[in-house]
Amino acid sequence: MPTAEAPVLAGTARRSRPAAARTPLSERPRLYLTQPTPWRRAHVTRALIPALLGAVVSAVCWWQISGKVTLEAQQGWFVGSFLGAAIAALGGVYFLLVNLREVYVGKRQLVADLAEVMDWPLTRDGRVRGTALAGDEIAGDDLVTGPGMTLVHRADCQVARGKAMFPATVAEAGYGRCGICLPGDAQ
Amino acid sequence: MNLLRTQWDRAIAIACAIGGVVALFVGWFGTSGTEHVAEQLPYIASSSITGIFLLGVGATLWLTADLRDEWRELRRVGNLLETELAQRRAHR
Repeated sequence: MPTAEAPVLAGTARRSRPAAARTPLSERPRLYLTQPTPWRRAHVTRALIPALLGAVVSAVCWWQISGKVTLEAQQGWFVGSFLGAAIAALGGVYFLLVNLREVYVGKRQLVADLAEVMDWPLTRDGRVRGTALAGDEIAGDDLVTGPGMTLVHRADCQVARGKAMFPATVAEAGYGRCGICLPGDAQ
Repeated sequence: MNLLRTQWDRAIAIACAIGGVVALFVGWFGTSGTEHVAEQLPYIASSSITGIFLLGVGATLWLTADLRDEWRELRRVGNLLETELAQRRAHR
């Protein structure tokens, strides 16, 4: 964790883009703490360029189609109008992907910070270690829960399978009991 | 008005979706009014593509609004975590 001089969360200091791209996820700036939205002005600009270009291409093609009277003369422009729509769609896809990536990175960073505070074991790639990632570390009868969960499960519970879990007990933090695996009952 | 200001992206998404449906209807109305393909193509190239485009814009804006909500939640939890860390450091 950072020292008193450093920002409270590791990596909150701003860095240049190339440096941030090379550094591990946990060391990158926590943009969700400083930026109001997952997208930046540059992302909007990059998304608008193909969107507007596609709209212009489609409009020109429509203009040309409506000025022709034979099907043969219209065909090429008709295909062009769909091409314009596809170019415009690229802008939207880019914008969505950028937003998804930023939110994903933010979530991973937050989980890593939370794990550091809570002393949860992490894997090398920064995920919370649990039954899905290291099944041999938690026996089947152990009780587990996960980030954001309100119930405690047996480690081999179907609900817990495939998720990042950590050891917990029912009494420890006021968790509820899973109604499927009924932790705490004799099997 | 306050709702529109805070949820501007969802408001635009709904407006785009409505506009898209209207454009598709206009396109259908135009194409159904003639038997000649050469007269139908301008409607397909303008109204139909515009309708699909507007529906796509609406869907994109709605999804990004959801992601913005997620981002806001990240910030809220991140700030709570920072406060917790600062308190822990103060107690040491």
